[in-house]
Amino acid sequence: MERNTDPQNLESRLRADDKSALEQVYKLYRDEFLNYVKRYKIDDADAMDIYQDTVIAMHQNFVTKQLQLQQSSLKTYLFGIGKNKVFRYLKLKDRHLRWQADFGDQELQSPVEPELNEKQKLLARKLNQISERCREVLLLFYFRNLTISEIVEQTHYKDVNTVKSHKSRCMKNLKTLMGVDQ
Amino acid sequence: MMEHEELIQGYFKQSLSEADSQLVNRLLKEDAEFKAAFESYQDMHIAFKKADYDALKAQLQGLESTISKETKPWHRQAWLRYAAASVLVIALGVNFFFGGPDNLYEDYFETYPNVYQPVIRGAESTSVSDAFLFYENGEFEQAAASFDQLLAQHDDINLKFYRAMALLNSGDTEQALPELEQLSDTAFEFQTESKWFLTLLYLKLDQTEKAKAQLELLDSMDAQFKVKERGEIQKNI
Repeated sequence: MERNTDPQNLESRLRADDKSALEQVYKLYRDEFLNYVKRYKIDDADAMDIYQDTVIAMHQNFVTKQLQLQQSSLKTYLFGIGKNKVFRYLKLKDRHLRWQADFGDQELQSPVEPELNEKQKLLARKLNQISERCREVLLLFYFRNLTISEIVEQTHYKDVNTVKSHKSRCMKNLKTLMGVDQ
Repeated sequence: MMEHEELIQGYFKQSLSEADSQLVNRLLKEDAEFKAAFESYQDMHIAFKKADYDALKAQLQGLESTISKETKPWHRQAWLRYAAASVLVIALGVNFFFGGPDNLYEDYFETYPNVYQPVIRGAESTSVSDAFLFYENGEFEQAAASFDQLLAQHDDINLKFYRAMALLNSGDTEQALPELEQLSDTAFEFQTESKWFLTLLYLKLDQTEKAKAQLELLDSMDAQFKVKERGEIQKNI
């Protein structure tokens, strides 16, 4: 048995935003999940899409909420999320079929995932254009919801004030970048 | 200001106490400065989430293309199959010597996770979140009471399911039983789960025939939930 398949270890690596843990979970339950989805007669490409989104949602929950699964296994948790996504997909598809019967091929807006507003979309693009160091500190704070002190503990920053001033400089840079397109 | 920052981060981490969640809701209504800080944090959080999603999606698509189609599923790999079989034999043996059907409840019971709440939460009412927060933190009596309050306001079958789960986890089988019997007769998202937990509850209460009937119904529905565990139980009762 591989060293890192220990569930506790896997969960703590997921909490630490370890992308290799994500790949490990992906491979671990891939066949079983795709097999499970088959009975809903969802075509292969969509089933794969649902599985990938399920693994990503699970990973993001670990990363942003520092999730601790105390009473259910990782697998039950993952399949729970997946099942929810399958049902949403089927509901949407059903709506889509009824929509097509009534209105033909006109576009139906997906109500499933909350749509990003224009500002958030622009922000998401700009986050890829700021410096690596800025991206890191902002990600730790705004995405992983780590406090300034936690950031000091987990990184090379020497103290709270250094993090604060770096973070505020980075936010300023980001705002300037945002202004260019507005 | 620091206090506000902690509140906002706690909100997105879903780690706030009920009192603090209510405080966030109140500040959102009454304090314009807090609302602006909250919304700015939310914009950043959602933008990162989207950027992270795009990157992970690309990573998994790349990984998928490298996974060979010849890879055998685990149950076709001989050594794992034998390992699984021996674990099952040992488990059944242990169960034979140390416990009857009533122990099956303890063996197979596992808290059903919160899969109801969406991942991204907006700034709207969080009373449903509060109930799930209790549930996720293992405070099942408070969770059941919160679900009760929500259900008094409006009927929602999925919340009823989680109320039944909270009751079951808090050990209140007396109240959980009629709830689960009703839920397992209703076609909804968690019907198969309801039947599974009802089966376990019947086993706990020594009502083996009723448990068997539920397991047969699950088979006839072609339900995949806990299919392996169901097979093991069926062999054992």
